Formats: sequence, structure tokens, C-alpha cells
Amino acid sequence: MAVIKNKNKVILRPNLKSEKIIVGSGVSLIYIFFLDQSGEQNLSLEFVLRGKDAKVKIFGFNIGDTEKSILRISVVHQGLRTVGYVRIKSILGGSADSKILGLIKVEKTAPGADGYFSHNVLLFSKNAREKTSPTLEIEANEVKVSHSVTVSNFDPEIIFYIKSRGIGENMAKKLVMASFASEYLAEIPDAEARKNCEALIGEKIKLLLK
Amino acid sequence: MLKMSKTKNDSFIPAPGGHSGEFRMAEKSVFKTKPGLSEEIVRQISDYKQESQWMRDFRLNAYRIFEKKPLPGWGGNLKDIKFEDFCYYLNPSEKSERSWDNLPPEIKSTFDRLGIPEAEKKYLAGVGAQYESEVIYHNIDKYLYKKGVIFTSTDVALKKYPEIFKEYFGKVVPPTDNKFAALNSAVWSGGSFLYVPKGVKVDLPLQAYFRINAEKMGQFERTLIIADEGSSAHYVEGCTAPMYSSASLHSAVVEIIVKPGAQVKYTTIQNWSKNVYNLVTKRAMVYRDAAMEWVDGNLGSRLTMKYPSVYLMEPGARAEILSLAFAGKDQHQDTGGKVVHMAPKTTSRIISKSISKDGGRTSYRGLLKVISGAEQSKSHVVCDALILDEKSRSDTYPNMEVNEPMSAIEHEATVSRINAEQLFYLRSRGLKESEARGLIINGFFESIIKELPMEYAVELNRLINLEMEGSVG
Repeated sequence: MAVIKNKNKVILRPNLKSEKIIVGSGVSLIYIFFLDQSGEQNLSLEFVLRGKDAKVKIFGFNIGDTEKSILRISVVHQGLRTVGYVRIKSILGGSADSKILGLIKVEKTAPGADGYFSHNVLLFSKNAREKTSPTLEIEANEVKVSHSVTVSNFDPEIIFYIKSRGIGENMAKKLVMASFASEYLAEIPDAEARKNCEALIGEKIKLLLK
Repeated sequence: MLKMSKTKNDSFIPAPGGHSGEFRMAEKSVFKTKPGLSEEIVRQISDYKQESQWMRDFRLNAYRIFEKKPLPGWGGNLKDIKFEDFCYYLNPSEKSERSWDNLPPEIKSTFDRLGIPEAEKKYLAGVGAQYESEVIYHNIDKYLYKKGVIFTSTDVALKKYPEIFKEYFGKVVPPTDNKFAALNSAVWSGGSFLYVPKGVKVDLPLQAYFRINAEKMGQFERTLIIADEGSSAHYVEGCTAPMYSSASLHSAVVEIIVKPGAQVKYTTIQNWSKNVYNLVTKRAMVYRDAAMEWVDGNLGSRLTMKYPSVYLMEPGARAEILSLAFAGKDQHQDTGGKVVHMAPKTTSRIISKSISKDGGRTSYRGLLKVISGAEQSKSHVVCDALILDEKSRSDTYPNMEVNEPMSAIEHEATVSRINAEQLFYLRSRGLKESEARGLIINGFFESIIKELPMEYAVELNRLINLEMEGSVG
């Protein structure tokens, strides 16, 4: 378990392990994780926004074609005016079997909470599976909490357009995947972290469509 | 005003006004099983109803399943239910002997404020033996008869139409489905049977309380609806006024089969009194190019656990689930919807709106499943919740299982309080705070209320306004 007290911290986990993080007053944390591709995983990631005005933005990437993975990710709002945003992008091919079980919990002590959970999934092979449960448990009323989930395949019109520009199908799909995964990277203020993320995304997509 | 002849023990009563239509002679003696449930009780119920052997065996098998199944470990708090204390069958004529004077004052006051007519008040309170509706009932009866529609009680259908009954009964919701489906299967009584022949469109909403069926307020109603190819029907049950019931467990099952090209809409507004556990299993199987719409309004009860579901079995099948829930003090509405896409080119939409106030709790619980091979399936789920004060709670437990990449699934949910700017604006136009809140909440529920028959919509709007004033319950 880690207690974060430094203001404006950025944490990058290229191979996520289970972790619990407590965020103190006034702290603004950016947390970026990539799910590992090396076999079955059952992971738990918990953020407790304990202090007043604690803020966390979580960016998660689940890109693979073979692993079975279960990730339980929760953000618990305990302090006043806490902010917790979770954005996860999944790109699943091959026989990937993924479960993302999300929870945003706002306790009675956390009026003014602002929470958001989004999970966007690109499923592109016949045998890929996705199960997602974005749960909300809200016990305070002065809150603004929402979640969204989308699951889809490649938009055939977009692929067609790219191919019509002379680009092969494989490259067209790589471009779409990279764009899909990178949608929220501009929200990461740290340039080095952004650059590392782009590199990791590029590597994983290359493995997917080798 | 609807009029029905009363049915009392050994009574022969003409319809009011000297109208000479059909008459009813009720010769049933008062019958009531002793509290608790056993194979003996199940046999007694079946014997009293003079049922065929296959139904008796069905009930006994269901009872054995009920005994083995555990209570669900999720949802509302079911620990206080004492199955051994309930009486599982009560002759309807005894059930309706209740004194108006003994009715809780808040129920009587609600009837007045909702403008419920005098005769209807007594029916809803369980005071009158029957809802007075004979003349209109008989006109509806003739209209349906001419079209070949069968609309009767489930008990009567079992005896009068055994082949079609046996073909479909227990096939959509088998006793093994869950503990409360098993309980209902063992002790069911009352409910509606509706069969709509091929190509027949039933234009008027069929409302359960129009039928002469004393058991329609039973604890364990079983409803079976079969819409044959190309047909359509709209079935409505319940009402917005509080339904007073001394029975504290209501566990109903609704099974619907929508054959190719058919359309069924099933509307429920429940406002059971706040001592009631309302645990219901509702499911529809929808076939090629057919459509099923559940409109589910939950206002009353202590705990409701109800998730109308649709299985889209063949290409072109469509589902829509509109769920409305209002939880006040000491209430928990655990509601939602389930859709399973079993075939290609199927579409679904779930809209859930809920409000919790005064310590109430609303929980949306949903399942959206797309099986492998259900290509080009599309689904959109929206859940919005308002929490009106710091004592209340709202939960959202959606589950999405997508095993088909060639599908498009979207889900979104929000939880918030009443928008302060909207409130300020309305108050600046001279509305009192409670009126402004009522208006905003009616607007919040508008997308669901507009799907109701007009009289329900008007009453529901009135009830919501009363709830916001804190005048009800």
C-alpha cells in the first residue's frame, strides 16, 4: 500500500501488479498502467481518496491477444470534493479473455465528489471475449458521478477510407488502434510519461498485428 | 365507471342498476392452508383447485427445488423473510373481507388526493369484494371473443385450454431458474393467461383488474402471454394508488412468448404498501422480427427485486426495457433489466430512471449479454439516478458480457442531484421549491411516463408530486 502526499505526482506501471494507493489532501495523482501479456492474471487496483480535494486520474491500457485477465479497479471517495477519473482502453484480439470489474464508491463523508469511469473496448477477433462491470455505489447526494462503456469492432468505413489513401489493411488497422488507444493521452501533463505511453502502445499494437 | 357483479359465498347478486347480463354464483367454501410450506400443503392447494396430475407433479417438483436452492447472496436484504410464517393459499372471498376503517390513514388520504373514485378505492383497499365493472367488462369480453383472443385467469386457462397451456407453461421461467421462481411454481395461484391468435391486433390495453378474478391480488400470481405470429397486444397491470396488502411476500412470475412478427408491450406500475417484499421474475422470448417492450414502474414495497428480461432468439428480434423506480423512506428498489442477444441483427435498448429520497435506496442491476455468433447486434443502455438528500443511496451494477466482436454495445450511467440551475430558474418564475422539484422530476421521468396509457401517466405524475411534497407514506 502506498500513501501519496506529494502534490502532482505521475506513476507509470508498464506491467501492473496489485496495489492499493491512498491519496492525501490536495494531492493530484496521474496513474498510468498497462496490463501485462505474460499469462493469466487476477489483479486488484484500489485508490482511496482520503484527503480533502484529493484528485486522481487513471489511464489504463489492456492490449493483447492471448491472456486471460481479471482486473478489479476501484476508486473510493472519502474526503470532501474529491475527483476520480478512470479511463481504460482495451484492444483485444486472438483468444484474449478479459474481465474489468470497476467500482466507484462515494461514501457519506464525501459530498462534492466528482467521479467518472469509462471503458472503451475494441474487439477484433472471433474468439476474443470481454466482460465489464462498471459499478457505482453512491451514499452522498452532492455528487456528480457517471460511467460509460462501449464495445465495438473496427468501423468498416474508416478502414475503407484509409485503404483508399493507398495504405494496406494491416497498417490501416494499426493506425486505427493507435488512435483509439491514444485518445486521452493529451490529458497527461507530463511529457515524458506521455512519450513512454505512446512507445508502449506502439510496441503492443505491433505484437498484435505481427 | 366500471361495474362488476359481486361474488360472495352462496350469493346471487344481479349487476347494479338492474342490468341483466351474466350472473355469477360462488359456492366455494372458505379455504385456507395453515402457515408454512411442505409437500402436504402443495398437495392441498392442488387438490383444492382440482388440478390435473401433471400440474400437481409440476408443483411438487418445484417445491423440492425451492427447498434446495439458497437465497441469493446479492440484491436486497432477504434475511428477515420467514417462509414458515406465510399462509400460501387463501380462498379469495375470505381475502377480500377487510374493513375500510382498519385501513392505514395515509392510504385513505392518498386515494383522496389522487382523485381515485369511491368504488375504485374500496377495490384497491381490498375492502370491496370485486371492482365494480360488470358492464364494461362484458363489452370487452365480447370484443376479444370475436377476435379469437383468450384472456382469462391462469387457473381457468389450465382447465379450459390444457394443450396450449402445457406447451408453454414453465418453459420461459422454469422452476430451476431461481429460488423464488421455484416457490411461485409450487404455490402459484391467480394471474392472467392471454393468447392472441395469428395476425390479430388487440387495440385496447388489456388491464388485469378488469377481469372477474378474485385472485388477481394473490401473492403468487402466474401470468402467461402468448402472442402468435404477426399479432400485437398491450397488457397493463397494477395502478399508481397504493395497493394495501397485509400479505408481506409477493412473488410473481410472468412468462411471455412473442412469435415471429408479433409485438407485446407489458406495462406494470406497482405501488405496494411498504411492508411488502416484491420479488418477481419476468421474462420474454422473442423470435424473428418480433418486438417486446417492458415498461416497469416501481414506487411501493419495502424491497423490490425485479429485472424484466428479454431473450432475443432469432434475427431481427428487438427489445426495449423502460424502468422507473422511486425509493422513499425505508424502501429499497433493486430493479433493472436483462437482455441476451442470441441471434444476429438483434437490437435492444434499456432506459432506467431512478430517484431516492428520505433514506431510500435505488439499485440498477442489469445484464447485457451478446453470445458468439450474434453478429451485427446493437444495444444501448442508459441509467440515470437522482439522489435527493444525504440520507439516500443509489447504486448501479451493470454487467456486460460481449463474446461477439461484430457487435456494437454502449452503456452510460449518471448519478447526481437535482440541477441547482434548473431549480433556481423555476423558482425565479414564481414556483415554490416543492413544485419546482416536482416539475423537474416529472421531466426526469418523462421518457418513460409518455409510454404509459394516459390515465396511468396522469396518476403517476400526481403521485410523484405528492411524494415530493412528502404527503405520501
